[in-house]
Amino acid sequence: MKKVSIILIVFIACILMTSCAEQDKVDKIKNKSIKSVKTYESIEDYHEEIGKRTVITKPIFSITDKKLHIKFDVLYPNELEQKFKHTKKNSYYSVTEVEGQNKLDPWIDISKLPVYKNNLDAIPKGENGYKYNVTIPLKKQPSEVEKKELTNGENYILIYLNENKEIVNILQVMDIGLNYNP
Amino acid sequence: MKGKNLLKYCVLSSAILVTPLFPKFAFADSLNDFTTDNGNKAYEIFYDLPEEFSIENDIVDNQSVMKPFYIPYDETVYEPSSKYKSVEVTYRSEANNRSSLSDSVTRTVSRDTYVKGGVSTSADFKLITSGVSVTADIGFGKSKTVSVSHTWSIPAHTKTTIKFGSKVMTTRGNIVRYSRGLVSSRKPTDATYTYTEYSDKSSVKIK
Repeated sequence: MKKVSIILIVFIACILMTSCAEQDKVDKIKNKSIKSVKTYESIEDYHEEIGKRTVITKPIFSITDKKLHIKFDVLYPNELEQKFKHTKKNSYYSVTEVEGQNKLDPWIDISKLPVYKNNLDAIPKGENGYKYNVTIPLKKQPSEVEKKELTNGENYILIYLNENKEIVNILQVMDIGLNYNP
Repeated sequence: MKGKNLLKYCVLSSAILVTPLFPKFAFADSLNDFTTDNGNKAYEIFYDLPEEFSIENDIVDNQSVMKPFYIPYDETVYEPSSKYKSVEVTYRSEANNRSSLSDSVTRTVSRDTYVKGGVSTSADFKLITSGVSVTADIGFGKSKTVSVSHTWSIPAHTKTTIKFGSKVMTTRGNIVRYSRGLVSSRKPTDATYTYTEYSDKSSVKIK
């Protein structure tokens, strides 16, 4: 009887030791994978990649109550998406008028355009990528003819800004999207 | 042999004659061929001497400018006699997309931001920008080259031309000091400065 209980105790001890060793291994792997995630200081470290292989759907423009709404989806390549998610400093995006055109001055105050934080953990994601929504206040209610000009994507650019809100990327793609062939 | 020499002299002399008329040819603009993201052929030019065109030329009629009749306190203002807005194109590219799929081009482009001219102090420059109501995109004495990554979509079946550069204000006038409403000094000055980026994309249908 004694022998049986000794064998049992030894057996249980072996199992416990093995499981502890396994846990150690798992912990080591976990720690290693955490350590291997590269972090970036700023969008400046990789901003040249934004226009490459990113897919942007053709933007949808609409006007309601002196507000211009612009909706589009952005599908980043996986590597770029991870870079955005592991960047210490904030980056931002905005939609503004094509530089130097000044066509939309009667309706849009360029100096008061909203700038949004490009936090991918907070932007909803669908099958075509992250769902970007931009709302631009209008100075006055446009007429039906003026609405056509205001909802023409050729007049706009999508910009990305660094932590100091300086432009680092300009995407003149608001007319047909980017690499988007539905 | 004589014919060959004559031809050489003709080419040389015409180059000497033409260069002052078209100084752009004297600068080494760099022309590169490249392929778009979908492999279409494109070319680009980085201008050493920017391509320039006027967008607004305003000769200020000083007779009609409302001048202060009486300023109870001393004040210094800039009174422009001319204002001239132009565009300086530093980058141009052209891409032919003959396919039925949209294409794109991403390039790092740069432009100079600067303040030039007879203006000599930061205070005078502030008077000038407020006098013409156009704020510079760079501070006085802080000229620099700004680089930005630019992406353009190229619609299917189009030849798309892209231009990038700066918008520039050129103005001449006087910095006038008023003392109790009377002119106490008048200093002629001029300034040329960049005030914003310029970008243009135009597409023409091709077969």
